[in-house]
Amino acid sequence: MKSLRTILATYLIAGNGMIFAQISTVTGVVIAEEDAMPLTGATVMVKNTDVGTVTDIDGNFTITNLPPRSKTLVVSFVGMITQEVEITAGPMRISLRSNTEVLEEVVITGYGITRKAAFTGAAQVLDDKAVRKKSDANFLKSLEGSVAGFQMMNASGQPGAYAATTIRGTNSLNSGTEPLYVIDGVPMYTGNLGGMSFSNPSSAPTTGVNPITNMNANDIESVTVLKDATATSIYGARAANGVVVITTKRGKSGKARVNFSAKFGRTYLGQMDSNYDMLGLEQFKEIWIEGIQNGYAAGNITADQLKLYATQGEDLSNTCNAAAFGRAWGIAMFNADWDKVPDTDWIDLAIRSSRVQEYNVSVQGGTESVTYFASLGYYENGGIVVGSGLERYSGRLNLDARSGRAGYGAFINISLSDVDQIPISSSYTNPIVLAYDTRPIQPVYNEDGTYAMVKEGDYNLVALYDKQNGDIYNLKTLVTILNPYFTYRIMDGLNWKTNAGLTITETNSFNFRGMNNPSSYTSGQYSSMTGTKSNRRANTYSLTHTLNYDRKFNGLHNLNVILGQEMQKLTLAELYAEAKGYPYADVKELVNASTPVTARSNYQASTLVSWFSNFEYNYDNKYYLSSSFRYDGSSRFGKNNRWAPFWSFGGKYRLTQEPFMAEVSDVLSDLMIHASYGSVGNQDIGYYAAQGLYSYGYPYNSNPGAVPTQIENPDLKWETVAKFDIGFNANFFHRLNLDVDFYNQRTKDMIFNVPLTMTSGFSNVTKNVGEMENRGIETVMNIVAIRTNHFRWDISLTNTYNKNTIVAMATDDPIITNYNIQRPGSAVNTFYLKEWAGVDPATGEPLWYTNGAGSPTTTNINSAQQVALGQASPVYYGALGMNFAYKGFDFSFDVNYSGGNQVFNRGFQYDLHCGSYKLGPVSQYVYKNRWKQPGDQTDVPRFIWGGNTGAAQLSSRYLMDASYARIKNITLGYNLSAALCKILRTDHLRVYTSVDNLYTFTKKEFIGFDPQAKADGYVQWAYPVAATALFGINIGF
Amino acid sequence: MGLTACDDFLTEAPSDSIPDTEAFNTVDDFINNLNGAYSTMGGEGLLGRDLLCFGDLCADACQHNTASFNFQKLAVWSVNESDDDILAIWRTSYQVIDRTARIIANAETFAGDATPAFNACLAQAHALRAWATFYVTNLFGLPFTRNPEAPGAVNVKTPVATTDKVARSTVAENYAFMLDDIAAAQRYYAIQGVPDPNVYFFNRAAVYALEARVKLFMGNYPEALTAAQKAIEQFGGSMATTAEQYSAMWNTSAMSSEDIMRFQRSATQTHSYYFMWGPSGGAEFVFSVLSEIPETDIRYPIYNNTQYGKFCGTELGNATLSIPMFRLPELYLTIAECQAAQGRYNEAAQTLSIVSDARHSALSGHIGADESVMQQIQNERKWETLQEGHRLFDARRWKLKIDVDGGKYRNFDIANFCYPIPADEVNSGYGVTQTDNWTAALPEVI
Repeated sequence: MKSLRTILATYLIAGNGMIFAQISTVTGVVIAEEDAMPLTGATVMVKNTDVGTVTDIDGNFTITNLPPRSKTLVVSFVGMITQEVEITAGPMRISLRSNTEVLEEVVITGYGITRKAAFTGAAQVLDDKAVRKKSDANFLKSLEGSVAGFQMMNASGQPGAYAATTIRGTNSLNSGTEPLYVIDGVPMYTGNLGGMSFSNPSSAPTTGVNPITNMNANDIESVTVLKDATATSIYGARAANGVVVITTKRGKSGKARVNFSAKFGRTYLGQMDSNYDMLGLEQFKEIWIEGIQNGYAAGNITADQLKLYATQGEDLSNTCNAAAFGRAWGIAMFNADWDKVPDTDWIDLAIRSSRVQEYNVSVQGGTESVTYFASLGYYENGGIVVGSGLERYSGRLNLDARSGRAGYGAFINISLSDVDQIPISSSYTNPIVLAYDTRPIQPVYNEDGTYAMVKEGDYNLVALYDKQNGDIYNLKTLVTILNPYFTYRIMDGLNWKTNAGLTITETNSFNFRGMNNPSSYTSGQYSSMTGTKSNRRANTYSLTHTLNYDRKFNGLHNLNVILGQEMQKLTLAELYAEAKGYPYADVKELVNASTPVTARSNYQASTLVSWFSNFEYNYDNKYYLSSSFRYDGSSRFGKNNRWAPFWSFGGKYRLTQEPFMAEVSDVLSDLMIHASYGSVGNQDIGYYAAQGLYSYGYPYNSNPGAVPTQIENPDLKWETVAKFDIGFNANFFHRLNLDVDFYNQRTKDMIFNVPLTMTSGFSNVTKNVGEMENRGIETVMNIVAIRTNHFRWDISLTNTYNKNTIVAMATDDPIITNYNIQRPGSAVNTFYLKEWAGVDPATGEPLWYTNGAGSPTTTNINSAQQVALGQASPVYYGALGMNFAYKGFDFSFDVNYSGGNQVFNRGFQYDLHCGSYKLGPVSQYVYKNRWKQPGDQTDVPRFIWGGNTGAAQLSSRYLMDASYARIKNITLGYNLSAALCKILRTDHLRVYTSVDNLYTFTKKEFIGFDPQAKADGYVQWAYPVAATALFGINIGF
Repeated sequence: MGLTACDDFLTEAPSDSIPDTEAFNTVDDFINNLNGAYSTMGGEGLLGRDLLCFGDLCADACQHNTASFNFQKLAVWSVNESDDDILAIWRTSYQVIDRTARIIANAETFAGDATPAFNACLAQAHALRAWATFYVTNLFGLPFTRNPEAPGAVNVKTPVATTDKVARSTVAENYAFMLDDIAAAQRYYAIQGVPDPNVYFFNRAAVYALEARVKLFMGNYPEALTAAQKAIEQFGGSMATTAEQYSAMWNTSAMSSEDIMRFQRSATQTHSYYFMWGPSGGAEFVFSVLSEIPETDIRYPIYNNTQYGKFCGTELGNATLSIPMFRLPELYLTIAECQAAQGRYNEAAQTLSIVSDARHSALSGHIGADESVMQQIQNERKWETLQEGHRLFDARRWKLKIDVDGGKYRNFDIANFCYPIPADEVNSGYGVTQTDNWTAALPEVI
């Protein structure tokens, strides 16, 4: 009510001003509308002149030399909407509304814009500032934690790495789980188009870049995450996993405004877990001598051998499986040549710090009829592991034009990312594997300065990623988006829009097994150098027509109706070629290789035709109703189920509009409750899953052969997710905003391969049989804790709790791997392992529970049963953010956290071995905690050369609590005052310094770089999460 | 809403496959599908490994060494319903049966001309289906000579649809089904102008050879003998008589005078049976069997090759490129056995000597013209077909009591045993039931 009075007062004063037109001095105060606090440093200019001033510490201003016939003042302030006000006599009171508030007020669904107040669904909007805050190449990382329900599985810290993303939990076991991404109304292909592995092009990409990484965060105006049925059902068969709607910046009429921003700094390994470090030479020797003595005691070594080790170390070569060089130096280690033995810190050689820089320039402006936004960007992140790094070039032009009733325009975006992406698998081409699997006694260089080990058949990580002769794993991704549109105002409130979109996502990968890769060196020659080139291109074509009717009747009834039709086609083409036998590492094109190895191509396509409608009605901004319906036809479905209906209903009630609430309005400024229910679909079931198919490629005696490769299921259809959401939004004192949502999402008709009699020639057929459930609570709280003249303190808190349960599968038989289980009644990706019971204090032998905790223990791992032990996906996650602003300074920090889940490090069977890996590298954790004598209470067994106690085998010994809290970002910034800006002839100028991923708090039991893992909770030799320290500057002209 | 207008737009077909409705439009389509069925036989479940492993490693002439885990469980008679190799041979056999059944079923509705090539294709489809049915029947049912009324395999007369129910037939019904298929193959081959394919396909002689094998397993000696004679007549080859000739059958790619039909594996197809006999494989001969073959025997150099034996391969390729399916000596041994079984010992001895003399085997010059010749025929058959996957099946139809797993289990009445139906098949609920009490017939340490 207060603000209404202010506006009224302003209006009245402005009205009076019409009478006194000729005045020479104007005075007044500029305040923030939401809290009536004075704004210091606001710019007050007389329109179309150079005359003006800035407000003082109390928000007051005086302009004395008012030119004749001056009528209007232009008042602006960073973060506020610029306002034009009629000049009046006497002290003026000008209130500005904050920018963010404007963003908060609308929800962009992709097919239309809805006022947030009228929106009955669950969605969360992030503005451009929040999106730009992180320095990561992938702007989605800024959503992590800040958007309730938004969860990323960052299995790799590699720049640009693919990260699985879910909204409100995992909704499917065998179909896609990624949300739909829509940029300015055009769907974006975000599948993994990464590089293909040597000699196995048909397997899944071994590395991957998310095409979304190509998006320049500086071009983004806002990101809206749509979650419940009301928000998503208009996207029909693609909306089961939620929708992320990205809106880019548009031009504004007025003089050209140029913005330049630059960031530069370093990225580095922020923290090293001392337990996960490996032993240096002294400790390595110590523990292996102990291991050999224990091995003798255990009978793994004969007395004669022991004698030899002690005196010469000679016979070691026969009993250890250390590679050639390790063997040679291993002998020396026990010899008199001690001082000649190398002491190499391989982890130190694998991990480095690198440059990070980003430059971005944009121009924004236009006339009344044409506006434009154009930008150019460059980003570089050198990566913290040898062989990795990312560069990105991007350009955008957004044009909008208006001519009478017609409007038209086009958005054009081209971006190229160039990524050196090291393999993340357990292969020896992953430098992290080599860092952990190379002994300190192995040298980097031979005495003659050449790389050691390579010719002996061992991997040398420094040699492997040598700039000149090393391996290359390069992936270039070119994303081109062309998005023209046309609008026509048929009559007041009735508008037509046609939106066309073409996105081309093309990846070109080049993998080269260079001269220093031991597998290139056979029979004394570098004859097996191998190159592969692969090209994958995903094209999406879309054409959308919408008719929008938006009217207010009798001042009370508000109606907004959208009718639409849409056609889409997605094509995916790939080409792969591999050749080997290069003469040198310098000539890398395949034409230089002597032997073609393989070539293949593939092409897939799917189409979608849809009709949709959305209906919103509200009465007096008090009662809101909405409904949407979509009818999708998809080429992916079986012929008996080609068309799929999806729908939703939602309602909202604004209690604070009721007269009886007026009394508490000073306390409870706003209160709304809302609920929705509806169905959405998941068509990500494969391109041709429903069809009966015969394939070639089964030749006999050099004649082409065909076999049936897929059995038809004409009834195959989408997975359906029924989404229910109920929640409320409350605002207290205009200062504390609280959103709470409870949701229940039930996936039905989940795709499974159902067993079939093999007499049919097939083992299974794809059917819609499974069910899954996600239930959760999301809380988003924004608090303006302190707001005075010069100081402001904002707090934001986000929390999500999610419980996932598999309800039904194809059969009652669980699906079990050697570390997890899928079964009805449990969460997806529940760990299923033999349970570790620690170490017998009397003997130092490892113990396992025969059948889970509480059951008798055994020293024989084969006698232990696998049991369910926690889940891979977090049960709760969220973020805490704080912003402090004092005069021109601002300081913020963001912490995100997640917990309730476990992580399983499979690499620990090597990294944490206790002597079974003869003469292998040994970790600090094992060294510090190993059992030495009866009575030792520890969880690391006795260290025995060649020990076959089973301690290294997969068990819950490698399962750890994955809970963590990470200081995601800290920023300290300074905005130059308007007065100084004016002197410098700039519009605004900001300098800041920030640190990303400064520190991660984990549970004490956690060992490793980072507790984040793949969706199934599995991790091994992952690329560490990097910290990044930056200095940045933003200038506007 | 005019949705039908969108149907064209909504029809997408893969570029690397064709819809099942387009798979049998032309004669070439039928031939491509036949090649696909042949190709399937080369998978690990059948001739790529498991069929040969079952035949050799689960019987008494070969055994598993500890070098590898390949096929180890079945070789040491650790048998269970979830075994991967049991699953593989069941699944692959029925893939062959299904793929040939599709050819046969689609031929009935084929509107095009039944060209000679088309008829030759159908002859082979019937023969392949009979061949695959023969092995599933013999592994998962009791030997015909033990109990023809015992549950056997599933006869797939027409392709099984996902909505169908299926059931096991009796062993006798399986054999009747095989004989129907063999007769059908012969009918197609009898049509004027139908070409006789080469040694790598189910040619006319191979169909007779299969008929002889099937009827021999049924104990139908007169007809088996006739079929074998027809096969020899049709084939017209001759026996190798020198060690060089015998070795050349395996370590060169030249076709031998004894080969009626060989399976041609493609260079990219896995041939794990070859690795089984390699330095880190899992197979080796039982020493006592090897000692029965004298140095003068022309087979001796191949069997005493330190690695691989018959799979020693050519100089060019490491693995032998083809796997024998029917060879001339098998037919002579079949004829001899039929003669002996009918009490025609003199004739049997003469027929056996064709093989024994050509091979200079231990029997050469020592063949008895009395009932002892049967034992000699069995021995010669064992020596001749070593590593070709026959011994288990012969031992079962002869109802021998053999020592398996390198002698760990002695006097095992192997004819009483049949392998369990894979658990996945039974659990699919389509009607195939498990053999009652199959575990009772497992070998026991005595």
